[in-house]
Amino acid sequence: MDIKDIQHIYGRAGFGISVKNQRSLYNKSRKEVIRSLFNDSKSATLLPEPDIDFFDPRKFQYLTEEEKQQFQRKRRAEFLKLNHCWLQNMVSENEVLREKMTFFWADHFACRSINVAFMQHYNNSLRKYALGSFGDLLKAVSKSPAMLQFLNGQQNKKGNPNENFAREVMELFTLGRGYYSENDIKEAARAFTGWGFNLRGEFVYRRFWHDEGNKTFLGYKGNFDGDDILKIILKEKRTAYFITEKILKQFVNPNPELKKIQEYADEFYSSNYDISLFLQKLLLDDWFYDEGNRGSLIKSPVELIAGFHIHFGLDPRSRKSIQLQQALGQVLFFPPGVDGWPENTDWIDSSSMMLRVYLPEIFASNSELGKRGKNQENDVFKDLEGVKNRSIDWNSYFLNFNKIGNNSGSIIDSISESLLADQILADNKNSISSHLSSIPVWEEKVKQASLLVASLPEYQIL
Amino acid sequence: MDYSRRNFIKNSALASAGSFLVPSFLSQLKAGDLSVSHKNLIIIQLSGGNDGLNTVVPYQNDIYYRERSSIALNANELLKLDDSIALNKSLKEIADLYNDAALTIINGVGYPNPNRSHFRSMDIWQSASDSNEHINSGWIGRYLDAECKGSFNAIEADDTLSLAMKGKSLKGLAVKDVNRLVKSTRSPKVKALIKNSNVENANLSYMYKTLIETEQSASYLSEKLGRNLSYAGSSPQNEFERKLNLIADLINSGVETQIYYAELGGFDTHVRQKPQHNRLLDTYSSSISSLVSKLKRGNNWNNTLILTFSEFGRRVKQNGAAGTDHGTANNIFLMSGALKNPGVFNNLPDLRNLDQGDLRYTIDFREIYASILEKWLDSDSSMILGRQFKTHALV
Repeated sequence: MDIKDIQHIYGRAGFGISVKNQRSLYNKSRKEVIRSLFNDSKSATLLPEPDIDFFDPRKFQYLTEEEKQQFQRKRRAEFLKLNHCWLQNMVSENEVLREKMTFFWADHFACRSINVAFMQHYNNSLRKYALGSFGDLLKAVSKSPAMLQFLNGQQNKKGNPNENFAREVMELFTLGRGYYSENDIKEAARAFTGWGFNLRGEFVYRRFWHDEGNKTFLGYKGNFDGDDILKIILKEKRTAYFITEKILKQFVNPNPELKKIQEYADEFYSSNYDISLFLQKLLLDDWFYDEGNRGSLIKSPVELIAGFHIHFGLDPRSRKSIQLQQALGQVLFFPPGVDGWPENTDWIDSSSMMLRVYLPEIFASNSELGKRGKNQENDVFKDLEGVKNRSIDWNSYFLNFNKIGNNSGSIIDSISESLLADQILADNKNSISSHLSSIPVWEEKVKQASLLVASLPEYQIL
Repeated sequence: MDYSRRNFIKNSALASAGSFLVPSFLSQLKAGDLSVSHKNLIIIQLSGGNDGLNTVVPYQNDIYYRERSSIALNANELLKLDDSIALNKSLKEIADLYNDAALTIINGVGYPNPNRSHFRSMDIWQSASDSNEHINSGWIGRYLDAECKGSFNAIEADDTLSLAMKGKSLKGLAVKDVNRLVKSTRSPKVKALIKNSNVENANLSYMYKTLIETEQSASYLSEKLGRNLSYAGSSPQNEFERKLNLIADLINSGVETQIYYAELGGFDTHVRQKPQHNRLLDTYSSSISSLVSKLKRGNNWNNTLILTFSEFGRRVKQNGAAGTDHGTANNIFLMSGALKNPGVFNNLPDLRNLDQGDLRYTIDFREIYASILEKWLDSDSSMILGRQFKTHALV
């Protein structure tokens, strides 16, 4: 397989691929590479349970100040661990496709809760169902305590409906604006009444809160409950189109051709929303590899950070990985709202661009980044002093390039090929080459060239 | 180059693919200032949900005292403005502005179907969306788009850029320390990058242009500040005051920037509200005072408007922890030497007519934005805000 195609697959369907693993794929065919991608993702490495008591708001209010603060500290520490675990999953180069889809679904089904056990359970649900049937995923998400809490599902009761959950499920998760009426939202809200959770983070159906009456939803009439609503939503072909369009926008091109969206949507619908089949079709489709689709995406902060750790063999469980997430505006487990994170050029402004250019230097040096990013109320990651920093194992990194000679041009070419989705600009190659000419030692040449290539805007595109 | 709104899409170089042009308005600026004196807008965001009732206090209203048995402000914690309204005593300098006819207090500002989540409500205020809409651009950013500006025309005194400052094609500039920004844009690494020209890929083009614009803006700001005599002032105590100092210095140095944004956080006073709230208001008041003095010295008080807002107010009744929980409508402060209607603009919120314990709004916040956009910034508010909102004679 061509190196550019390898980069393309692993950049889009994963978080990047280490130089060592790239090499092992040179002699494989596209079909073989895709097959092993799917085989490797048959398993799922779930995030571990947080080491914290079930949060009981009634008991919490009677704790002393000291006990409350201790609990908050513990909660923050467990969120930190979860964030690191998730990053570690991305960087491990295991179950690549599953992890990329988990990340995709975490944005699509954006949710946040201060209950760390709920969020761990929620994230693992995404992971479990990431490559299965979208219907199963939708159901698991809709019944998860984190989502029910986030969208006030538990406050939705017979006679006193809360429409938030019904609205967001339809507007953001399945149909999109304009494909349902305000009345549909009201009726769906009635059907969802009774859905709730208990302190142990288990879904609970409370019959006495459920509105038993007849409902009219999207033209259908019946005594619907929440499950029925989800079934009806899935019966709408529009749902398949909405999800298809979103996946293609984030995996192929921000403006996919309409006939391609329709083609994939039709198959997605007839396969009963089989996510794996969808991705298999996509990764084997010549259209995916089209020149016009290359370089059409900009890495999100997490993709950039995870990719950097993969390329440089760096352990992501560090203080700086958290600080960079905060500074670049994307923190795992803390999406800004139910409509998820921004995309592509939305990530780029003067300060974020400067920070991306300096990112390699920040990770590779001893300099501290300090607190950056907006003040978040209930800022989860404020106790970072005790968290260690990590160093790049340069000796292992150098092994990737020991067949390349001492020629600056060859060094830059080899590194660019290994790190970039597309070509390095000629002016950049020239300026890095000039810079290397004053560096006698080979290892230092490779190190500096690598960090400089990773500072380029070319490193930001997929 | 034609900067009329109709042509802005065509000319908006950042939106197009292919080889890019250095924004030519920047080179025009080097040749000489475009306009003599323009209006400035400073937006102060109080993050966390400032408790409006303990800021602008209905000190004659029994309900206020009844609902806040331990956190209501008593007579010697107040500065009376008239026979029904008082300010929290920590706002001493703001009261001075009131007495100088340089403050307009607008009561009961909010929007329909208010959201009490920090993130959601802040997004609503910054994007000027309806409560059930998700808009991923900000009203100041869209002002930049509409008026074909450069990113330095809207500056946020911070490390990172808020949604408010992000337009569909143009974005403001986030900077806390101009010298530091200049240094980083003049590093060999960045200098080498901005030499690239003829970039085909649209995403790369956008990123390189952003870098070039950042470097040029930093140079421009630094050059202007360098000539400003008051720049070498006393070092301010706190971060908020430092932010306002930067803004004052930039305005006084005559930069072409029109809009500034600064945040003061910590207002989410669920527990033991009084000491924390008073401390924050004290910081706010003294920092604003310092800002106003500097603007006056630079002869910029009459062409500068300061808008202060928070993403929501707080509930009328205090909670069980001597604090307050997330609420809805809140007050807004407008400060300037050129206000049309200084004083109290409208009635205090009616504490007898609450919405499940929360204040009802009487003015939609987008009416304030529209008034400012049209009357102060001479811009088309309906295009920027998505539809026409009523305007008021504020400025």
